[in-house]
Amino acid sequence: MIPEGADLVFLVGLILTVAFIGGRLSNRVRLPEVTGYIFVGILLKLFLDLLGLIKHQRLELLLGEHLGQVPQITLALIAFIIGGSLPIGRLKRLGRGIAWIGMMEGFGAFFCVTLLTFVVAPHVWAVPPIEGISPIKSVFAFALLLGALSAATAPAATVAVIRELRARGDVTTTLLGVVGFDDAVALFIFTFASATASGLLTIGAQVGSSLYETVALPLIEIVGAALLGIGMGFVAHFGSRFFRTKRETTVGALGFVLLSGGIAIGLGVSPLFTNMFVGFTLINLSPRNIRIFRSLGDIDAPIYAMFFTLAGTHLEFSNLGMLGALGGIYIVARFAGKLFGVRIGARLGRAPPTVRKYLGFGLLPQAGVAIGLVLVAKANPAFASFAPMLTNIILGTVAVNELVGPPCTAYALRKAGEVAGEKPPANSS
Amino acid sequence: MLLEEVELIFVLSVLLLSGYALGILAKRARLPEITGYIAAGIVLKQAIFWLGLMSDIKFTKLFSRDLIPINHLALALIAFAVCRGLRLEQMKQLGKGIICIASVQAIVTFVAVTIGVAVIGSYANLGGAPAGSFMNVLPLAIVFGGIATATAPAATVAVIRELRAKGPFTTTLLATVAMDDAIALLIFAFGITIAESLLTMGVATAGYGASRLWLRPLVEVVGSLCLGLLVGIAHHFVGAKVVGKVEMMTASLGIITFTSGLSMLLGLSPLLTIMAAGFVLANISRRNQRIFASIEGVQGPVFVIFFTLAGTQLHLENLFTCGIIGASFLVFRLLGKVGGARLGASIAHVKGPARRYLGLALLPQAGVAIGLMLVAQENPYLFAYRYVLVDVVLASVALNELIGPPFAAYALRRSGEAGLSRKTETSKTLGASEERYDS
Repeated sequence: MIPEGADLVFLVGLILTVAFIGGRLSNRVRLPEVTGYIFVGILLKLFLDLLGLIKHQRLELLLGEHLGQVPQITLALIAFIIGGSLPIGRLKRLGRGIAWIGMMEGFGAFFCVTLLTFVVAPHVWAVPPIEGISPIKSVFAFALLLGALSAATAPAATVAVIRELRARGDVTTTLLGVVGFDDAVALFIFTFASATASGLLTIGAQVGSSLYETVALPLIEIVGAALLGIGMGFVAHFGSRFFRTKRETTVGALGFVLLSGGIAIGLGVSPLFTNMFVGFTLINLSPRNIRIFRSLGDIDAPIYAMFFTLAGTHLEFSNLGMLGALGGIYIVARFAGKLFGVRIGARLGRAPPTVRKYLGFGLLPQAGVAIGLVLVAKANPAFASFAPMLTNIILGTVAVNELVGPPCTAYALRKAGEVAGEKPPANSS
Repeated sequence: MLLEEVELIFVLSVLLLSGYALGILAKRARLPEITGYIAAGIVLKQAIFWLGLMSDIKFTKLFSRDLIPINHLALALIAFAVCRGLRLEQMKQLGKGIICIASVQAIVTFVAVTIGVAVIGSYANLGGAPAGSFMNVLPLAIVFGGIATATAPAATVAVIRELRAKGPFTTTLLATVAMDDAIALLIFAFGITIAESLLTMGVATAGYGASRLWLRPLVEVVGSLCLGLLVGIAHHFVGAKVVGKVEMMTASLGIITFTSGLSMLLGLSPLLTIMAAGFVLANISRRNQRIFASIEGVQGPVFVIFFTLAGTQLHLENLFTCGIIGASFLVFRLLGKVGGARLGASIAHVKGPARRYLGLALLPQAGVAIGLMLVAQENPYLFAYRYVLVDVVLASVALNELIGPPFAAYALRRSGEAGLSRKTETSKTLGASEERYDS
């Protein structure tokens, strides 16, 4: 008799093993490990489907439900690490830049994608008409939503590349700050756009109907997360007095990170921001707390490897063909918007020149947050007519951005001369 | 139901933090940390039900179903880690005498407990399970015998440190406890295979000849060893290619988990397979110690979750109904350890304190015993006996952790080796095993 859960254990082992192989392969071709993990994840899913070792339904259940907790745990850790890499001393110098850039690149992508989609979409895809609503309105609503989704970036891939390259410097710090901050920006833009689009598509409703929904809800989510995070940061700081050995520190730190994430999910505030604030509070209460972050470095590698490989198994390539023009527009417009946004934001925030030049290349990865937001949009009945298209575009471009994004991030860090053990290229500065 | 909607991430954090907190308390009280973890699990479960925080269904889903992989992972890691010290080269240095004593006392304990429990168990209350003839109880007794061989290195090491003991007796003791876990796992893995097939035969006797009875366990054991051998060699070659510690951790963890899952899917014994792989790995090259070291970091959190989770799974309501079987387990284990050490010493022509006192110093039991109990409890064939298993092993661990260390101290004092050392040599002989799983 086969013990319960044997196939799950087998699958976890398989995922970790192929992740290791993927990491090796990507080292060979000098691509970031993340790209390798995602790539072998895609292959693994193909092979498993092809060989039929595990029944299709069972496989979906294992990957989706049983391993569905891995992303939450990983993102909690990632957010905690981002928060911990932003001590106030460094923020004083770069904080202005981070705030401006985070805002500008988010809005930049939003405007570019919305504008281009609005102009081009009617020519390449017949946006399904809705009875009683002028077609122009429904196209605009579609463009607004797509634009809003483009603002989000993926902190996980960014952090993984930075850790792998052991990068340090202004671009690195700004990048970490920006990927943390722009999720807040993305949330705001999305809530606003979603309310506006919903107003456009509802007969007789006034635009921007509910101030509460557009401004207060995201504000509550972010402020609530901040308060919870700061509170948990203090708790963890005092709790960490009991950490004697390194092993105790690892166990305790992991416990606090997961607890903050769990409470945040329970309260309905963003677990990502919560853990960012936990990390931020800890590092700023005492520089000695760095040991807490270091202790997690002992155990997080397999978690990341699993997370990205698992992400690879979830990517949908059957969508790519169908995407065609709209997906292409989305990717190009998003990239352009981010690049310009960074330039403008860097000027306004008086960021160092390397940041202005290279940071934009580090903002391509897109994953969990965007997918989460598109699922929210999907749940709104007002968007039923184009929700499938929206989902397909996001899922398809996530695949592209997750594969292409990390190498671009690595390129940006190399060009900026912030990679450990590598001399800055001659043409920099 | 306040916690009806919580997700696994929250449960994990609660397991980690509560286990960790009581673990520290236990350490302050000079008890093994693992006692604290298990206590935390028990308290957690009671708190959830008393305060009505969660429905039965939700509790079972989160704690029993969703977290099963953690159990498999933890046991795989334990089985892998005990192989670290099983280096033939190092064993040769210890001398034949020590190896003879260590293996004889384990085998004698196994036999004594198996027969003792089988005889007494045919008359005793088995916690709701059908009692019956000697042959009916034998499978359970075999499992008990396997569990009885396990000792707890950490408790013994703590006593030796405290008494600053040094000398041949101390060395023998350390070597014995270091090998005991591996021997216990090995005996248990064989034992449970045989027990399983005895039980299957019991269900569907007639028709099958005696040859069938031995075929299945034989296939399982040989298959597990072969798979382990292959995996061990493969792991060695992978390890030789990897430089970074972080990369090594991912690779090793992947291979161990994969092997454990594959072994289960093939109907083999994951414990035996992984131990075979670990043994091969430890003996191919000294450089492979890096592989064992790479997964130490993950073990901490995994074990805290594993043992705290174990606490939530215990059925304490039957604790006192299995008194007779529990008592016979304790008594026969004591007799087996003391008598076995004597027998081993006389076979190896070792005289002096090792012959007289070693058995007394081998009483403490903790992590490995509980781990094995959990494997047995999860085994579908032993389902009817799960309450007896849990109660007896827990009672034994609790009692032996309390009286074991004083007995060990007594043995060390009588051997005349107490206070002979300025610094303890424990860390050298035992390697990292102390921090391993049951300090």
